[in-house]
Amino acid sequence: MRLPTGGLIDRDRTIRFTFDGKAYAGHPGDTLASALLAHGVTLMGRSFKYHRPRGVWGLGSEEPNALVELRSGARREPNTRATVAELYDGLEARSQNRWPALGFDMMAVTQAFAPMLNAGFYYKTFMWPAAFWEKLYEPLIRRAAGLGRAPDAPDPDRYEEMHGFCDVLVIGSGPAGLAAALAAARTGARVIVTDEDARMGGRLLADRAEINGAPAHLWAGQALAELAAFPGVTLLPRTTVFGVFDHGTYAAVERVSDHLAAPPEGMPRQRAWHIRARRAVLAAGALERPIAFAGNDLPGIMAASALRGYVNRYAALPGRRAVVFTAGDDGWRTAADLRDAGAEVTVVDARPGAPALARGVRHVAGGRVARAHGRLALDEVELTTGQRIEADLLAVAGGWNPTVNLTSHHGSKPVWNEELSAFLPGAGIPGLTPAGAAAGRLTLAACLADGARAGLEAARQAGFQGQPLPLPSAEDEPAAIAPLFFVPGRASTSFVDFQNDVTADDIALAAREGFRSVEHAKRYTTLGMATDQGKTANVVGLAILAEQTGRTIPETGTTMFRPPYTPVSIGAIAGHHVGRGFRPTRRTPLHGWAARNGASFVEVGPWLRAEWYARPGEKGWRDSVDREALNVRANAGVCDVSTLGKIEVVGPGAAALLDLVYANDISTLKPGRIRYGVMLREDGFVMDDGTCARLAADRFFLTTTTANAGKVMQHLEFCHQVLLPHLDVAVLSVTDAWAQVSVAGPKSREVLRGVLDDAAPLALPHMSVAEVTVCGGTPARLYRLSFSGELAWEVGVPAECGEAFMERLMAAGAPHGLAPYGTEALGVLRIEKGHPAGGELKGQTTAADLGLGRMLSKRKDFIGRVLSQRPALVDPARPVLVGLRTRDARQVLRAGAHLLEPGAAPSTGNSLGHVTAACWSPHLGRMIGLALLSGGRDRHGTRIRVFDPVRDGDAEMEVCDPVFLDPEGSRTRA
Amino acid sequence: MLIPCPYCGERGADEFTVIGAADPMRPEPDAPMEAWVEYVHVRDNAFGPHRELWHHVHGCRQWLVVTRDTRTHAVHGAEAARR
Amino acid sequence: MLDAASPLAGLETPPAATEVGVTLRELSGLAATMLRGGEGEGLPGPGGALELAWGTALWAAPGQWLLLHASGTVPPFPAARLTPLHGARCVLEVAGPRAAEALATLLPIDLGPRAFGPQAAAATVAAHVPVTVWRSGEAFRVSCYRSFALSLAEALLAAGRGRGVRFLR
Repeated sequence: MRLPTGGLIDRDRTIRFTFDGKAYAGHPGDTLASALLAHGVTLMGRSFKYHRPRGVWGLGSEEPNALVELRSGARREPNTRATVAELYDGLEARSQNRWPALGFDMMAVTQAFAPMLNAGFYYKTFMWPAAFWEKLYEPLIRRAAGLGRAPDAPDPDRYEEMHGFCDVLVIGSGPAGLAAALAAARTGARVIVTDEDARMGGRLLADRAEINGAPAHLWAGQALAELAAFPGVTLLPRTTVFGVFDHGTYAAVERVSDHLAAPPEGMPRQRAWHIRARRAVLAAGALERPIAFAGNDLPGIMAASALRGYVNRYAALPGRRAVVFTAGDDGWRTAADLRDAGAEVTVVDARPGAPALARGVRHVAGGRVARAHGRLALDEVELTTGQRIEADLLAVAGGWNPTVNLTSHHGSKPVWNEELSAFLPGAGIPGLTPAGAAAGRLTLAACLADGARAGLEAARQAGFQGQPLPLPSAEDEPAAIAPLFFVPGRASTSFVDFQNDVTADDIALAAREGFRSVEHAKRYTTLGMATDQGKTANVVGLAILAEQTGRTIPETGTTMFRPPYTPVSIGAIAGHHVGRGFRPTRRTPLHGWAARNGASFVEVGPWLRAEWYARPGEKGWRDSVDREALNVRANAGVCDVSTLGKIEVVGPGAAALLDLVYANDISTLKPGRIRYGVMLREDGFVMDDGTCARLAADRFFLTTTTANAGKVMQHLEFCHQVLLPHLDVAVLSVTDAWAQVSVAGPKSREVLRGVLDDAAPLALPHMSVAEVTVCGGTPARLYRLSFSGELAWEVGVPAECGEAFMERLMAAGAPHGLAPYGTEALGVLRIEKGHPAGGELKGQTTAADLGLGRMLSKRKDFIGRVLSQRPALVDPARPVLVGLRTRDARQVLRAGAHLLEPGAAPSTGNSLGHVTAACWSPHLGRMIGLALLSGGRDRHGTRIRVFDPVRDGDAEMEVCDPVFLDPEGSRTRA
Repeated sequence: MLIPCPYCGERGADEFTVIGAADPMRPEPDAPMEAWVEYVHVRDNAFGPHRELWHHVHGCRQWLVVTRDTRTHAVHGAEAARR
Repeated sequence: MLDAASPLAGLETPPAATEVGVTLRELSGLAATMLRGGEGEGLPGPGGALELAWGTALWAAPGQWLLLHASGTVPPFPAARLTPLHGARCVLEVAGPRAAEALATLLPIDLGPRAFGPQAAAATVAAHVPVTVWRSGEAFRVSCYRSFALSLAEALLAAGRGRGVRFLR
């Protein structure tokens, strides 16, 4: 029922929501759990394996049971904890894992098979007969397994990533966190305060405690108001710090609009924070643990601190007759709060000699609950003495576990404290200080003092001095606790891990079967492996394991906590790196022109390159590509080569650096001349090829392949900075400075006369470079070099003038049949001329393999010189570059096919090499290709079997010289 | 992980690429094949402080020698490789 | 002489927000030049930017500065030490009361007034695009390689969503 007064809810406004189709009402400030409990609804779900009826256990994100499905359609969200789901008008929630209905779940029949479904059952069952697995067992298990239904439509919401920087990060905003934040903020430090709850204040909102003689939540409100007024303080409610990474890096997720029906326009649903903090204070509080006894998972059985939280914060009392089962003083607070709310209370205190700490309640000293009875909800509590008490609420106070998870994300193990019966943070993480209940302080005054001290010290270490925080008055009564983790009895229904349905029996079984190490027992039983990471289960579980294996709790140890602390949506992790934001696109300076002229674009790494330029009437890409390739050799073509890496190497040391980097001699290159160059890796394989133009004694202009531009740049910087740091040289990326086109074909000279202000440089010999002007004074560079095997030049103009230049070039070239060509036609032309490119330069070929062995200098040291001569790289059996010619126009040749001796059995052992590139040659009227073939040079003119089983290719073709056209190279020298 | 670039200040490791041990020195040109094989292919698997070559590709593009503890990721310093 | 084109042609801009928190505009008509050598000439040190009469100098590497100046002009240094980069950079100015907040979604560095004060500059990465960012008065200026310009501008507009973004033409 909803109590008539009290609670931190807004009773003036009503919120309507549904649960399993039934309409309910709540108030702003409610969670789904608190609103349902206020209506007396305690049955909220069915457990994972056994489909046992379950209700709310806790108050916050540690909730293991009340997992519901929220929303519908593309925003449907399974496995949402009802305890953290903020109520909003129109909220639709449904219980999970039950069919046909929560109250009548047919899958509960699995309980009858419970003895077969215990820990490790999947290693022992459903194995015989083997044939049944695929057809029967797996489909059945698949339908029964899992928890929750994922949505099957794309996520309509937007997510964001945010980088935050601060001097002090305070994790948690309970008494210790608020005190730490105040102490740090008052020093002038930049402070970020996070709390997973929508309303900051931690347990000050859930307990009836007093600070300075007034309700504690009022002090929390004042502290938050003061913090909000500091410009250097950022308050982040609804934000969970879920992981601790190196060097003060913290990952957090902020639930920006989870509490609304849909994100408002422009707002993200969630925001992932990367926080860099000089220092951090972990004020994450503590979580109450259960006690394992028979039937301890019935709806109506809750953590004692949670139950009083529902009464105090939400004015929700889900029952009338309560039993409080406590192992320490703390449970008595719940007893008093329940009594004042009007419930009949019996306290079963497991400690025989402990005094009553509240009046007006029945007291069973030294009593223990043996079993909870009920069908869909609790109705009776049975003690070990046999005494039975009618009850619809059972509050369990098993002791407090400091929330140490974040301190162990770097592998630091928590340390058992006998006096507190709890694990405290261990050696911890540099820069992260636990404070308050997370550090084992269990009185309000101690939490405030500890937080204040930790906050001030964190600020000091971050470089900010200040005064100790004046502490308000608060109670300081230590709460005694006796260790009690389980009550012996029917272990098969004494639940330890509620979410994964792991019982005390399962843990005993694991120990009996030899899984005695806590890491083995965890994995064998799945204890602690559910979405709650065992927050309520781990300590009870390992206490049982300790007892079963005759060890102490510290001897048994703990398993590792890893991020995330609570589940994080994939959307938040992806942030805005989705769709077009996944990776950037690079466009050439001619992109706009190409798009307007029929270009079809292909992704080459991050670049968009025109693969061909379609003309009206062309029916497919082959029509365009054949036309373009034929036109280059017949008239002239222009190709955008701006994506190739361009690097200027400048300074007195430039020649010396390039002599080290290139395998062939560079320092002998004269100004005004260009040389084709090959760069090796230090292990002797070819890294990249390109051209090197010498513009002046101390200025060189290099080109690289598109794919290797970044790698070559990095390599040059390495060779300069690490190997030859004394050289006076600068290595500059100029790829984006120039729009670069290749004009190729017998008419290319006439075309270029139409744009060059002075045509004289066109008479310079092949492999020359000149600085020129074009189109009435625009500075440009003219390079005579050819990739297509035709008479050709490359022209570089300032990038911002690229499109204007193309318009003028096309106009000048129109009378000569100039047409643009793309990367596909470029590929056809270079294969026809046997020029190595991507398929041959994959980092597994040597210069000798490619027929470039003679380029390696004998006069100088260069990168890769020594290892290029090691036995494996000079082995005469290495596959070398050859051409492949199909025998007629119908044969199909594809890159990737293997080469075999005709008649040899097809096996990788018999493979003599593979096809590296293939195309239809419109000039030869058939498919041709390049390949790496063992003994290739001696096989020109012979037949080879081209074996391509994946694509049904198996034919004999002819091995030939890789240069299919104009082997003397006379066309480039025209 | 944060790398204290001497030019740019502390930056996230995402701005860098790392290629491995900084101590192996490129052999003299006339050194035997074995020395070159060692230099290119053979590395110790350090457990503890390790001097490594990092390249600040998304920053100043300088190569750095970073001393990092491979057990704890503690970074003890970074200096320009040129020095 | 040939006309210059903007690398942001084709950028889809959202309708202007009513309450503008972030403005974005391209600083067009700029050229870039790399300067080699310049110690002791009053040029900025690592992590620095200087706005001078002829343009802006940004520290790029030991002994190297990136100079941004009006297209068609030449920075006042000996030609032998200059490497023209023409339109290799696109420079965007991000301004407004929520500019720093929008940039914090993209840049992994501290842009707060203490860590990134006047004349501060940093080479870093934003939305996988290598950028140089510096302060210019109350605004931020972000420079990237021309080929990335459209992607960077889209990322900045997306960062301004929900923060009242307006693209100034």
